[in-house]
Amino acid sequence: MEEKVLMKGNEALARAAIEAGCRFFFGYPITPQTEVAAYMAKQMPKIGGTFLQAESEVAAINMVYGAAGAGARVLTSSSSPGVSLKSEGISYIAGSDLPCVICNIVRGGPGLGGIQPAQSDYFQATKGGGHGDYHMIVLAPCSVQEMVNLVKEAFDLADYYRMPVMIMGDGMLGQMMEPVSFGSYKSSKELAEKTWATTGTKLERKRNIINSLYITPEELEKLVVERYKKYDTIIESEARSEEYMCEDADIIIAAYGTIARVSKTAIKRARDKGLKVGLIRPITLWPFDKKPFEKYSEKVKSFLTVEMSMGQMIEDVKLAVSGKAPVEFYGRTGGMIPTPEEILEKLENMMGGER
Amino acid sequence: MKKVTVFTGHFGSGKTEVAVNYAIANKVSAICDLDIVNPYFRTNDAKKLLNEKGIKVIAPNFASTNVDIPSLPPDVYSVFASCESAILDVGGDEDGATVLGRYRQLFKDSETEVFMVVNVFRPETSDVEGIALMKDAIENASRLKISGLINNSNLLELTTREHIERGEELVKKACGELSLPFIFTSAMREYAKEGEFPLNKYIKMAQW
Repeated sequence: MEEKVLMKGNEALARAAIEAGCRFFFGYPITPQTEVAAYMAKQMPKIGGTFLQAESEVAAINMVYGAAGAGARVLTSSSSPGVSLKSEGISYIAGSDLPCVICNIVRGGPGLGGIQPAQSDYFQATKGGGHGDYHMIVLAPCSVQEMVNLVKEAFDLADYYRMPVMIMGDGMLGQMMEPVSFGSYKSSKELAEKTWATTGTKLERKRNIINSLYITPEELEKLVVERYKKYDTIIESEARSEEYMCEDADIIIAAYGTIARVSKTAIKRARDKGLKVGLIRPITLWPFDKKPFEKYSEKVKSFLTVEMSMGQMIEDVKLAVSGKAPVEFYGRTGGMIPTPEEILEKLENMMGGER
Repeated sequence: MKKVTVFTGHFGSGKTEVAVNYAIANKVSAICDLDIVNPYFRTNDAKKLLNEKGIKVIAPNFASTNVDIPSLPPDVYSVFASCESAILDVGGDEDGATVLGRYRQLFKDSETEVFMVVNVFRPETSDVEGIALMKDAIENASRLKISGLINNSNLLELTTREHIERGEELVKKACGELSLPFIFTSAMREYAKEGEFPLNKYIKMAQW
């Protein structure tokens, strides 16, 4: 078995990116993800990579745009307010069909908000953020180990589909330490050579052009429609979630990331009290995995979405459940983390019919 | 102040956990949280317990709040002036140790020990070379000399006696090469053997 080390989520994220072949990091420090930049600043020079602290998040994402256009594996990371600043660039990257990985270690918002963990950027990550018809694949790890595996996979997905991929963690996942190993990820995708990259023609081929400006509406529409066919493929083949004790459940909790782990603890305690509760943990937030919700929507009495927000993923849960069962909500926001006791109390209220 | 004990080391080595336990076990008068690096798990998290044990807790105004301002508490000076003994818990790496330079004059008038806490399962201090580099970086930033190493090697809930002993062997080897005393091995109470420094879990962790 491979030797484990003890790492903070942010450090592990950075090391996983390097192991995935990322040699360019452009960013700007912000709590609670600053260790990503600090790790890259120390490690990149040792391996011939580039770490650059840009003058702002806007500059950083445009450096990512440039490096991605040249075919490099490139990473930027930030936390909520910084990702808002990057959103314009992300839209340009999506509009130019370029692969890159963007990490958001989410903190409380809106505005400057706070530095404690939150999940209130779900809408931003899955429903746009930037302008225009586009999507990013959004991956939501719930442990430092899963962070490592998903960061490595994110680079493969980005290259395979030629699009930005976001890793969405929260401040708790970025800051906490867990034992982790680095050898367990195996790529399942055959990656094509990046013949579209702007690496210089050497007068041997036609110029490659990276662009998101199309003045002719017919041309722009055609491109966007084609891109949506790619999105359909991704919805079909990449949507992923974990099921936990769902088979006999009366209530199924829907929760992702850190709060899914809190929910598991609540579920164990609920089961000790004889309440049949399960969990669906979306791993891809976009595409959202509707299948398990469809499978259980006629079996359960109710769903309960638990989030560190005022309720954002609940909209996707409701769409997936499609009116076949009630969907309730419990959440804390602003950097507060729901405790297992709070979730258990909510479950008991639901089972007691005091809705 | 008669005696001041400084806890320093690579971030994530368990400095705060060791410092808080050390403060309680040695009945020191005060513990100062000088961590300007880590926004989360803090000495201040154990403030209530420490106060109950008669230990004064000095922490930045904003520690464990939602405010992201790395300020140092002014009452550190009053601790040096009026307390018998104190512990300084500083932030990780050379970045965290930089704050110690500011108290240089005060250290001169006290008996000062500077312990570097090492967890060999942290990648940057996983060998003697890494430990030596970390020691040099902290000494340069703090303008203090490390006076001993503490082995706090662990893999959290996956920790076994083998991990603790492997850590002790490596940290002792580092002590030999760096001509430093080996202070002790610390381990969670359920794993600790006689002669080791047993730790209770005082710093709040994740909610599961």
